Amino acid sequence: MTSRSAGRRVLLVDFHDSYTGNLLQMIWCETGVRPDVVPVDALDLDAVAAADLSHIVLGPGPGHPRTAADVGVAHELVRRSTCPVLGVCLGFQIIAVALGGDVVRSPRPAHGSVETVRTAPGAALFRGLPSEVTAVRYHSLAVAQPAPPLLRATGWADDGVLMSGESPGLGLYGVQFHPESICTPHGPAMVGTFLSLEGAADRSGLHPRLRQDPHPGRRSRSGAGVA
Amino acid sequence: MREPSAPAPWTSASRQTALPVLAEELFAGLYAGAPSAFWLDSARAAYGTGRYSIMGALECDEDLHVTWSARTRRLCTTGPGGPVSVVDDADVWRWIGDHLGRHPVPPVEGLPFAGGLVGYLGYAVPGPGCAPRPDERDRDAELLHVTRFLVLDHRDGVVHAVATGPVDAERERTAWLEAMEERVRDLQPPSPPPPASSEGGAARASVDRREYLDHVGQVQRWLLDGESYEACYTYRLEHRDAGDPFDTYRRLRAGNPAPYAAFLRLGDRAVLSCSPERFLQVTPDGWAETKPIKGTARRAADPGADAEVAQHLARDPKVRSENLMIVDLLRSDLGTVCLPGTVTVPDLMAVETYATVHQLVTTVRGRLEPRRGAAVAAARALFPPGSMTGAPKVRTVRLLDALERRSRGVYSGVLGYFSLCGRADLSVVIRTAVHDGDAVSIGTGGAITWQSDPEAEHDETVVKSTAVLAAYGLDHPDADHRSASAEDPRESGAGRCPSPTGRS
Repeated sequence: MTSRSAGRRVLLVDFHDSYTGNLLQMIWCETGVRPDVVPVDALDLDAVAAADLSHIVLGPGPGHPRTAADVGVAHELVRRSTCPVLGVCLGFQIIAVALGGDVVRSPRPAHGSVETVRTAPGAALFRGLPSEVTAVRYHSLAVAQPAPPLLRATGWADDGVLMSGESPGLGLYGVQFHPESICTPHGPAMVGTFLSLEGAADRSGLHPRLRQDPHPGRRSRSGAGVA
Repeated sequence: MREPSAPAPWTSASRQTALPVLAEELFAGLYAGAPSAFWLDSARAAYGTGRYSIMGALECDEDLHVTWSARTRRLCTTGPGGPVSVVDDADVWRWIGDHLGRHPVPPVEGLPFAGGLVGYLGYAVPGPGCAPRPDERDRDAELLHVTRFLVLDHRDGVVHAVATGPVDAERERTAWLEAMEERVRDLQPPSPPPPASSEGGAARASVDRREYLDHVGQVQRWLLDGESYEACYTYRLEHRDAGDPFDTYRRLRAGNPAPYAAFLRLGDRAVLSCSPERFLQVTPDGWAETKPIKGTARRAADPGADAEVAQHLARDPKVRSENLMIVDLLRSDLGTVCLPGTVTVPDLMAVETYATVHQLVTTVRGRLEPRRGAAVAAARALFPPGSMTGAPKVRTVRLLDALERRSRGVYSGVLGYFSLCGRADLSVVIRTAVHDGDAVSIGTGGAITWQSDPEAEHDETVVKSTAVLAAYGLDHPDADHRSASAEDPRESGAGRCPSPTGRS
């Protein structure tokens, strides 16, 4: 536990993923307190509002950030909460869509590949880290580029796919790669840095478009749009 | 369900003698004729496992044969004298935890097992968020509660007879230990197992090769669409065999000795396993360890070529990705039940070598949060085994369950024991045959990633089934096809499987 993030109360949203437990462990180690882990379809927004959270982490998961069956009330959670939010993989895509961005198919899937991520100077999550970090990718969809004006792009993989972004004024941060993987060496530092961020933000103006089709990804999608 | 009564601790007594005969002779002489018996057979000591074998049968009034159906959620217990109880709407995990908690036993000095539950939990036993379709014969979990058994210590060449039970039943324990000592001393070596009864030929596959390639194409579309990162697609091989399953098991363990080999006889069902994979081991002081296998390559006859095969396996980026996805999944599963900061990976992607294959194996450990029934809670948190599902587990299990032709049954579940002393040791049910009367089924499969070559994946499922089929004198129906495609993987059937979009 580091003193900078002692006493935090963190909500970890589980999108029925198999890596959520690793984020649980990282947050627990960092804050000394077991975070509340809530499956996305069990989120009670009124209870969340009353919980006096310090941070929210939107975990990874299968599916698409515009599909209600996959992301439930996650967009509404982002809109109504005021504490800093970190999105991982699907969580990052949710943030990008909330900020007006889009998600497209990557040039190729990257499932379990250990890669180098080039980071932008001054990116909050990468404070104190080298400009190139090793990270593990598990995804076939990615945030379309150029990113929307509200989302500052802060990291790229060798194939050019967007690996991270932030909107500090709105308290939103995201990574496409998996900081919780055993093969992402600086992952704990990134999560620790996120949990040291403070400040309330008003996100009530965000209104992402969702769709109801439970299996949109089954149809062939355009691979265009990735810079 | 009945409320668990206050714990009434039991005690155990044991006697040690030099191992007079081979383990196989011991089981053949003592237990092979029993209607319900088990042998957790460390047929091969390797990679830190395999020191002990445990065998026994239902012998006294406390002993039970437990069956649970996922379809009816009914749990039935039968003792040596007949039916004992029926529990409707039973949560099998909770039943196991309550049952073990009722009679805690201190660990027996130097031995892994102090009495408890031995058997299997099939793939349809519910795990967090997962409930695939039930066993076709409504036998989703079967466990023997045993209090009289033998522990063979292969390192020291001794056999321990152990009797566990109520504190005041000392006379019964002593009488059994003395009788067992005599029985072991008087054992006659059995005759060698008869050759396989089958006339040769091939087993039937639940999906033919064309359909397999089709299904793998479907799986790869899920991967492109972000529905799954990796999916373990499996199918079944079936045939008829009227021979005694124990004879077949003797041929199996001789041909393919494995650290998690096992033979279970459960009435007219028998389970014959030569699994090399640890699902979960829990020690009484609360350490949990799992050793997922992802990555399998057929061994070469020439030693130099064989070493190259092993090296190639360890370096292959496709195999490493496949293994990493499951390692992160198991760290996550353990992370939900372990103390903070205790989940570690002491061995990442080590090569282990068996009779017919090399495999890439990772070790993940963690310290469980202290609680009553910690071993059962840990097994539940990790169930079903991530190496048999793919990731993310919940979505992938659902998709696979709709795609695969048949229910997996015992295959892809776990097999082993929960001891009354708090220890547990369970394997992943792979390389295993299940007999229901004379109907035999053998599961096989493998993890599909977006980089998978469907032809090569099919070949891998053939390789994995070879050792078990050989015990019946059988081949995989596509065994011939395999050698053809191995020579030129692009040649055979390439036009029949549509290449998923996004692959070159």
